[in-house]
Amino acid sequence: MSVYEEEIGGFIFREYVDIGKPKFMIVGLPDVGLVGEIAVLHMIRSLGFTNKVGIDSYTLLPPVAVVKGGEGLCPIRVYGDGDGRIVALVTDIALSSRSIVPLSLALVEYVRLRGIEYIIGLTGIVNPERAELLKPTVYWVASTYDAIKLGYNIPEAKRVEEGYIVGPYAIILKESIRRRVNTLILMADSFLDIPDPEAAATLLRALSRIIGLDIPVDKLIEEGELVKIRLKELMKETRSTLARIGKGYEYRTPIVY
Amino acid sequence: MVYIMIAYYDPFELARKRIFKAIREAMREFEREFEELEEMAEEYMREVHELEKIFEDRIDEIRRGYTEPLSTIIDKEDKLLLVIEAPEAREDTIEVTVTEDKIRVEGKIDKSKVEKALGKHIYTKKLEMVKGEYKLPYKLDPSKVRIEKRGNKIHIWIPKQPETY
Repeated sequence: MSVYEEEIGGFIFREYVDIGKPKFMIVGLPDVGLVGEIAVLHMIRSLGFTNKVGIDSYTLLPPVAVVKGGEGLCPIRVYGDGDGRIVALVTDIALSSRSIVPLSLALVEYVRLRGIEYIIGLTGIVNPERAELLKPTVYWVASTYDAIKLGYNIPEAKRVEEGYIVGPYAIILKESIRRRVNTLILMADSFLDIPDPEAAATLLRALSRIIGLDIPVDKLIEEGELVKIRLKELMKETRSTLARIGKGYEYRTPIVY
Repeated sequence: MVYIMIAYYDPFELARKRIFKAIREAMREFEREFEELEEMAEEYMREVHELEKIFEDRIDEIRRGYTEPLSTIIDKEDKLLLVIEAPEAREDTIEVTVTEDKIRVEGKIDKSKVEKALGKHIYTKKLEMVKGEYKLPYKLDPSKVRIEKRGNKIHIWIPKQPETY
């Protein structure tokens, strides 16, 4: 039973409780190596977040209802902590190329309307050396001065100097610049189409530094294989979308020099 | 002979031109919208086909009793690195076979691990094996392929033919 419902850009945002005015929205959409997805799922589980908002669209998403504990849930959900400081968005389904742009725009608008201070997007960046890397590196890119300051609070992370971002985070970043929403995208070296829990753990360590919460990642590393089994199908679905939205641009260096 | 053009104001001619211009613009707008709708329909159909394929693959996996491992291929200048991960398989049962034109990976499913990850789903019960077959883009000497097994992860280093890099 929702207490408030609002339609933004073709998506229905159904709030089950009053979410208040959180400081951070952590976004984990399916992308390279499902890094963001794995990180946010682990964060929600280990910190005991509860479902606060359901996001759905009858025209832009496949006709899917997620059932858990006998209850029908929206395929995209926002979970939150007890004191209303952090909310985290996660999806059960791969986003189609048709829904990426409207969902990203709707998300930025929702954050703006709810007065959430920061969007922190978690994702992977394809590195051909990933197979030999023991510890993936974290990179960041920001939309505003405040978000840049947040990025510099992670000493082990590097600022992205040049390159391309393709996919939902590119739209979130561009729309955040346009609407002056503080957005910080954190990216970890990852495989393209193999779920990468180690990269997700690296991102969570970096995230812990800026949100002021200690997210334990040992269990995520331990259960890495189980995570890969669980997310194998989502990875296959996401791979076909990545090919269609021009993810190949990320391998190119910008033309302007 | 001298012809003299006499220009005169014809309000009906002007109205006629304006109407035709408006019709042409409306037609162009209609065509643009129609093209957009066509593109949307094509995109939608592509998605439907993909969902159908995913569904058929899943049904096939249950019917055949095996699933394919996760894999990715990385270009490394003079070599190709094929990374294969079979987290569902029992580590001691994974076998890699290299012939001159393909690489085959097989392993037995670790039932307890898969059940722990996915629950006692019909899909879990029917799976017996992990099998993957990867066709090589050219024929090569199998002894030149280097295989590294790291648990359920397999790294296969494939030399490129000189003309391919």
